[in-house]
Order: sequence, then C-alpha cells, then structure tokens
Amino acid sequence: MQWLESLRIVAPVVFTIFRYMSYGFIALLFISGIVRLALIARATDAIKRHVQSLRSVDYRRFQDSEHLMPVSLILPVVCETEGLKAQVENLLQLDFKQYELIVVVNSEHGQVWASLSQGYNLLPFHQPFKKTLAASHVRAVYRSAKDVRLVVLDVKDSNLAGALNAGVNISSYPIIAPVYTDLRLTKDALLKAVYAFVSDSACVFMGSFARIGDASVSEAGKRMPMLAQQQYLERLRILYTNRSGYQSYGLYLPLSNTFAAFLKTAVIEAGGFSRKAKAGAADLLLRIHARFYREKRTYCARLLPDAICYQLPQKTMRGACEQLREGLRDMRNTVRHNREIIKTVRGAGYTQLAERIWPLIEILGIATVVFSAVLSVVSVPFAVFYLLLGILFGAVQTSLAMLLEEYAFQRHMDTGLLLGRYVMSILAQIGYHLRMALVRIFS
Amino acid sequence: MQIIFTLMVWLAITLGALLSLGLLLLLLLHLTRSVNNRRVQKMHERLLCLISGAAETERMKNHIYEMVNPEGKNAQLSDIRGIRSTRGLIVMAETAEELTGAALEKLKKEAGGAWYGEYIRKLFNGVDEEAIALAVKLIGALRLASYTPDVVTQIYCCRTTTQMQHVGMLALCMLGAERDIVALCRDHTIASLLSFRTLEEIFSVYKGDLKRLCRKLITSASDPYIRRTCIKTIGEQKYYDMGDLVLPHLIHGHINTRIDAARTLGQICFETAHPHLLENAQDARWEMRAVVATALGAFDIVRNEATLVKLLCDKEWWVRYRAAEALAKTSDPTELMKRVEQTGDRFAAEMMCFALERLQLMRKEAV
Repeated sequence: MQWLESLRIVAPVVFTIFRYMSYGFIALLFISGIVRLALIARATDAIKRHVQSLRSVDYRRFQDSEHLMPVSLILPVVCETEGLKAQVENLLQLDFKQYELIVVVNSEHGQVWASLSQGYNLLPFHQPFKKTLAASHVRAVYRSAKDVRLVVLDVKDSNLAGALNAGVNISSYPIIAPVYTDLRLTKDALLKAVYAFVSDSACVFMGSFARIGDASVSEAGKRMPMLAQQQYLERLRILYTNRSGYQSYGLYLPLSNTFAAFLKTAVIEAGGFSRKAKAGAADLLLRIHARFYREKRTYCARLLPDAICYQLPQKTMRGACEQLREGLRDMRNTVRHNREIIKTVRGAGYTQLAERIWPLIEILGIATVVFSAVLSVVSVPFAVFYLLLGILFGAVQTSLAMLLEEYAFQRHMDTGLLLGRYVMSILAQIGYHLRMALVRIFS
Repeated sequence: MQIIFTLMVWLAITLGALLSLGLLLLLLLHLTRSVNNRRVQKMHERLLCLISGAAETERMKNHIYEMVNPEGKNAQLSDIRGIRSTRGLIVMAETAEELTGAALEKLKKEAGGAWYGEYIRKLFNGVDEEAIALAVKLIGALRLASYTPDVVTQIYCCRTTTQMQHVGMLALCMLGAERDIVALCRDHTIASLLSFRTLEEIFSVYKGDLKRLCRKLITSASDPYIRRTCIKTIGEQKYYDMGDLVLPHLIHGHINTRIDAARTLGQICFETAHPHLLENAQDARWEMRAVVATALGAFDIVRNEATLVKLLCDKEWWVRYRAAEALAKTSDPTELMKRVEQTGDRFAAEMMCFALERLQLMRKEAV
C-alpha cells in the first residue's frame, strides 16, 4: 500500500514532466522541420548556381577535347557478383574520349571469371607496372581483344582495399575513379566529374551522391517496385536536407561506396586505400584532407550534385535496412580513425546531428506524445496533430526534394511516375521513413 | 496549451494545403497530357515547365527553331515567352551551336537587335555575375562582335572571378578578337585564374589565325601558363616553322615550360633542337627524361636508338615506359629485342616486350 501512496505523490510530477516533454518535442519538431525546409531552399539556390555555371562555361565542349584529363576506372570484384557483364558494358559505353577500365578480379570466382573471359576475349599480357602501393598480389594481367580499354587483373585475395590499390598501381592515367559492383553510371558521368579537375588545378577529389535506380535512359522511364521507389525518395531527402553536413568533405560519409574520382598523385601520397578501413573511399578522402591540411597546401575536394551515378535498389526491406546500418557503422569507423581531421573540416557536427540526433528526437517524440496521450497528460487531438505534423513535414520535405531533383537533373519526365512518387513520398512517412529512423538509432 | 494547439492546427492546415496543391498540380498535369485540345495542351505545357527545367528548355528551343524557320509562326524573339531570362540565355547559346547558315544568321540578328540588346545591357549594368557570364557566353556563341568591348569590360570588372575570366576569354576566342586577347594576356594587372588545361581548351576554339596569336603571345604573355599553352598549341597544330620560338624555352625556363617545349619540339621534329633534346636525356628530373624519350621517338628511331635504349634502362618506371613506346615503332622488333636483352636489364626487357605486345593489340594483330 505504501508504494501506491508513493505513486500517488509522484504521479502528478511525472505527468507534468511528460506534459512539458511533449511541448518540448513539438517545439523540436517545428524547429527541425523549419531547419530542413531552409536547407532545401539553400540547396535549391546552390544547385541553380551550379547548373548555370556549368552551362555558361559549356563543359560539354570538352567531350571531344584532347585537353581533358584521361581517367582510369577501377572496378574491384571481390566476390561472386551477378550482372557483372551488364556493368562492364555500362562502363565501356561512357561518353568520354580517353579512359581505361581496370577490373580487379579473383579468377577462382568461376562465374565472374567466365563471364569476363568469354564476353571480352581476354588475352594474357606481360604488363610491367610500378608497385607504388601495398596491394593484392597480381597473378596475371589480361587485356581484351574486343575492347582495348579493358584491362583485367587476376588477384590472389579478395580484399577490397588490396584490389583497389592493385588497380591504382597498374593505372596509366592521372585520375582514378573506383566504381563498385552495384553502381551504374550515366553516359556523361566521367565528363562531369573530370571537368572539375580541368577547371580547378587544386581539385584533388570529386565525389558524387548515388541515386537509386538504373542509369540507362531506357530504364529511367520504367516504374520501379514500391520498395525501390521508397529507397529513391529517402535518398533524395537525405541528399537535399543534409547537404550542409557532407558538402565540405566532398562525400556523404554513410554512402562511401559511390562513384568518385581522385587525383592519382594525392592517392599515392596518402598511401592508397587502407585495409583497416571499412569504408575505403571515405577513409582515403579524410586522410587526403588531413595530409593537405597539415602541409598547408591549397586543395579542394568537391561534391558533384548531379545525378551521374545510380545504385541498384535493394530487393527486400531487410536488405535496405542492412545497407543503411552497414553504411552508418562504416561511417562511425571512418570517423573514429580520422578523428583529428573531422574536427577541422566543417560539417561533421551536422552529419552527426542528421544521422543520429534528429531520428532519435523523432522517435522519442512519437513515443513520448503517444504515451502522454495514453496517460491523458495531453489530449488525444494534441497527439493526433503531433503525429500528423510529423508526417506532413516529412512529406513536404521529401516531395520538395523530389521536385527539385526533377527540375534540376532529370531529363525524361513521366507525369504518371511523378504523381506516383509524390503520393509515395506522403505514404513513406508512415512506414518506411520511421523504419529507417529506427535503423539509424540502433545501427 | 490552447495557443500551442491552435498553432499546430494552422501549421497542419498550411502544410496539408501545400501538399494538396502539389498533388492537384501533378494530377492536372497527368490528366491533361493526352487531351487533344490546343488550349489544354498549352496549359499542360505551362504546368510542365513549372516543375521541369528540361521541359522549359525544350519549349524555348522549339520556339527558337520555329523562329529561325522561314515558315515558322514566331517571327521574332519577343514572341517567345521567358526568353529574356537566364534560362533563355542558356537555351539560345546551346541552340546557336546547333544552327548554321541562314538560321544562325536569323538568330544572330534577333539576339543582336534592340529588344534583346536592351536585356543584355541591363544584365551588364547589374550585379548578377552568373547572369552576366551567361550573356557573355551567348555573345561568344552567336559571335556578336558589336559586344566585344563589353566582354572585355566585364573581364576587367570581374577580374577576381574564375568563371567570368573563363567565359570571357572563351567568348573572345569564339569572336576571334585577336587584338583584345593579346592586350588582355599582356596586361600584368590581370592574373590568369584559369588552369592550364582550361586555357588549352579555350585556345582550341579560337576562330582567328591561331598561328599568329601563338606567335604574338609566346614571347609577350604575362602569364607563364599562357606561354605554355602557346608552346603546346604549336606542337599539337604542327606549326613546323615556329620551332625557333620554342627552342629558347627548352634551354632556359621553368621545368614545366621546358618539358612542354621538349614535347613540342619532338612533335614538330625541329632538327635544330635535336642536340638539346639529347642533352636533356640526362636531366635530373624524370619527367623531363620521359618526355625526351617520346620526343626522340618522333625523330629517326635508328639515329636515337642508343639513347632510347639507355632511357629504357632508366631507374624510373615512366621513363622506361615512354622509351619502350618510342622504340616500339621500330621496323625490326626482333633485332631490337636482342639489343635490349644484351643490356642485361630484366626490367627493360619486360617493358620492351610489353610495349611491342601492346602495339600489336592496338593494331588488333593479336586477335
């Protein structure tokens, strides 16, 4: 009976705390909504300027130019992968004058090896190369008799960093661009990425933000499954609301395995891709930042906002959650290993806030307000409007991000598809978005 | 409590209305796409342009094509809605690249006319550098020579802006304005903010006498990048009679300029430079030795074989690679391989073997 008495004394205090917490959460919901809308407005202005600036100098003139820096694309295939042939075909069809594609593969992966050697008529080649970086042991070098731009390295182990370093060692060109097996590039991807290096000699890195889908024009109009559409919309929302966090780095850290171009000399100076790092490209980029910053050298790392790179969507919700969880863990690992430079490069704080704190506030807010309504601390309409506001803010952000993407970068508009996505951007707030917020918190 | 609740309701209504408006717009857009009525189609087009930059561009481009077509409906630029905008400037510049003959002349006449000129002048008097850059690009693309002094003025006004310098120089090169380019490049008060490759690209679109421009700038440009661009252009364009202007840059100068000069002298096979190139084969910098290897390869291989084989045994990978590339052009690969093997250098032999095989592959002989 005594505990009942205590509860009677404590209950009003707890109820008051819950009431004020609910008010606090509504204030935070309002602030986060306004901040994110302001960030989208800022992104709109920045993207408008970017598009205008590219158009005014007419970067497309460089397409047939002799003066563009040639690129070595490196595709590390460290495990059995489906659709490798389609990807190699995609990479060999880019609109770019001079580039080579180095596929790093272990010939013991029979399926992958067979698709390459049969599809591209590979010939063993005695190619001497400088072993600048510590890399996987290269058993043999092959060149394709079908397409001279294709070089295949047969490596002994299946380590991503080792494979990428082997690719860097054999590459002939001053810019190296790692691509991963689930990525597809648009035809003008290299031209847009490399233009930054040509226009600014201080540029050492050009990152990109992978959209979800397929890069080919024929696929662009095709309707993706619902889950893929949700992934696409969530990706766009992050792209336009989190720009302040990752723009200064040149790369969105939880999405390290995206298409990016590095100046080869900078990669070599920084010691190449590290075997210890979980997110190889992000880790290397931060080490480049650290080195150049320490040596007080003039440099810049940029992020290309254009839709030049597409990541194939995950087929299951479990896969989508796992991908996000893995990205966040890799980011934390990278941040841990590069703590010093993280402190000096602007934007780190916002990335943390956007990836961890906002989702936590979102989920805690829902839980608190619903619990308060159950305890009758706040009225039911208050709780309903809180949830409704959360959905509406999220839906406005996602649909604005989608419309901005459509306005700035998409070339083939399908009004039916757009309408579907618009409706989806509202519905996704109830299920998919919340699930992703939970994954972010518990990753 | 009541205030908070009222605020929440109003906010929800506002956001809901915003979303509903967007939904209505898209629904309307979707439903009107196949209606076969001219007015409805026009409305559909307007709605589409609101949410798609590509659709707006397409619309303007179609109207320009109609205008330059003698049988088209639009007689002048003023008939095209929204053409006096930054997007309009972009579309016109892009369309100009696609047009030729009478169609281009018509667009040129319209853009150079009083109505559009008023807009361009308004931009030049304003402060929006992005819009000014687009206007300058249009002037270059349409070769509106009457605006040349304005382009020069804008370069001077925005001398610290890389984009303006890029677009301004590009426009002047498209206009073939030799006198203005030379004056700008000689002016010490204007530091070139452009990268070497950008300058190369800009010079490649020059519409005037490129040889004469290079002759003027190679000795007088205030910026070393511009002088290097001239040196490279001489090599790429194969101006054989300009070797004597390049040679001094191989003998004295910054290492990067010397490297470019060595490459160019090889490209134009300037005989007087041959002894100097041989001398540079022993340069301390491997970058120079690598370029010399390529340059010597452009001369007679037999005559330079001894030097090239020596470079093939160089400690630096890139020098060996370039020397092997040069030697691979030999008419007798078997004999060459024997000579290389005689050096006893395993790396040199490997590299030579690779270069010969690669050449075969390039010629598709290996298939």
